[in-house]
Amino acid sequence: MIGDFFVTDYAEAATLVKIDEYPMITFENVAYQYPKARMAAIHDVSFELEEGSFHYLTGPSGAGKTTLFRMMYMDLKPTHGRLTLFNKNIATLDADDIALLRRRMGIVFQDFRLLPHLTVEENVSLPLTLNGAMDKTQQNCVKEIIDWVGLSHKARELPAFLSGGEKQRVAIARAVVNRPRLLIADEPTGNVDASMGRRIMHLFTELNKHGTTLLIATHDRGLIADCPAPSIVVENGHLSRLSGAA
Amino acid sequence: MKFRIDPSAKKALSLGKDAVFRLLVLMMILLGWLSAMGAAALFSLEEVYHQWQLNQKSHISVYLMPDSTPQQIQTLEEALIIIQGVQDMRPLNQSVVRELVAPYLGYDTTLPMPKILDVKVDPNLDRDVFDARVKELFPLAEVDDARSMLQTVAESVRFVQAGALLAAVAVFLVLASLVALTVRSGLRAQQHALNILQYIGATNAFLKGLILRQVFARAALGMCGAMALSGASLLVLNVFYAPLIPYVTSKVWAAAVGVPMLLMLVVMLAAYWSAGATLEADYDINAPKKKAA
Repeated sequence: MIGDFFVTDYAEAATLVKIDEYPMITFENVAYQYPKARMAAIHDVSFELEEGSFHYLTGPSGAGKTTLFRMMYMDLKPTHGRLTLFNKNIATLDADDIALLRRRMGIVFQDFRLLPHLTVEENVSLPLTLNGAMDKTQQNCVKEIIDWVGLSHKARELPAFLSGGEKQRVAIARAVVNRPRLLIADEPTGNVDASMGRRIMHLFTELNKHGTTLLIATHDRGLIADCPAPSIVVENGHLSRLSGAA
Repeated sequence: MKFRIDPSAKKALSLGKDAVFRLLVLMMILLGWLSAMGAAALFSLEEVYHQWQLNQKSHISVYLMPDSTPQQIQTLEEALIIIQGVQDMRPLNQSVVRELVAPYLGYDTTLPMPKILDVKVDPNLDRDVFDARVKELFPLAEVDDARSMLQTVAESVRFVQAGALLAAVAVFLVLASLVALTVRSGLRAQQHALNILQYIGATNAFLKGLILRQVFARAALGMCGAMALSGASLLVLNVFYAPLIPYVTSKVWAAAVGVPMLLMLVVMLAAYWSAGATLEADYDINAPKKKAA
């Protein structure tokens, strides 16, 4: 099934995989302090992620992973330092630039963020509808990815009638349906069983092989062991280490 | 470039879920009807004034002493008819004169009645020449001079019209504010959906398009409702108050239809501005984040 999703446009995808000369994400001495907070949530963080790379983001709860994530999907701007995405300094972007950059990204939120009054199918197709009505190929693509995450029998259901794991799969399907160049996922396997977790990681690694840059936040050591990749470890708002593949 | 928006995208940001936004149709009907009727009344008043003014300007009454003889009156008629602008004249019947003064003196008055000469004139009349000729032959005669009264009435009519215009501007401003508020309130109620759409890459133009389509649909419904209500009101007035018919001109009907259309334009401009301002603030990554409603 997953093969179908990629094979459909494999040739096209292969031509799209172009490793740019600049890093996909660059944090340069980035700090962020929430308004009215006494301390910065992130201090002096610097790292680079090359296009096509695969990293985990790990660290204890409250270490600053979510803040780093929010900066990566341009929900927050660094209060200090410089954050570059797709070779663009996010501090200089206007609303349309942000929107267009987000279209090149897939984001999996820990709390799923599905639209409650749209069906599974409609939620998944949303990223493809932003340019207007979907064409037949895109509609097939939506069906394939829903089928792949094992929810074709619930394609017409509203999120309210789905379990946590099912919602997570819908969120993942929505994040990958437009074959993003950068995929950031916050605990993407946190609510699914081991078998589905492996399927999701398989999808992610396939995407990565086709050029998608991956950054996955997780506490799951088993997941990291099963699917090894370098880890960015955050502790107390600092980047404590950038470890190699386990 | 595709202009058709996918139905699921339309469903994604449904402002109709907000109770305040749902009131837009009702507000539009009510305010549209009020302002349309106001404008219709304005044009009717103009027509009433215009017709009355024409009547006042085309007739002059010359009041002669009660003891004036028919011979004297005929001499006066002969002297006046040759003045440029005088078209015709006739002495009013004494019973008509009695009717005219009855409100002031009563029907059983024994006072001698004045003689009244009703003169029909056109705009070429030189009033000074006319008045001089009357005074020459009848020094004690009184001639109606409606000019100052017309001036006063004209000023009053203009004052009422200016007041109505101000009221119309106020209605437009109120509606614009209400629309801005309802759009903002609708977006706040849909903050969660709005944020999700923004996170997956919806541009402000796309979101604004979704919002304006919904505002347009509701405002158009309201506009049609206001037009229908205004039209029905004029028809009812025509049926149940026949004296009004001559004053319900094509301009009055145009106002009943045109004002709701103008209001629709105001609504769309207000919605465009309000949606733009709200979305810009939402995309401002320096701004404090708003909580979903």
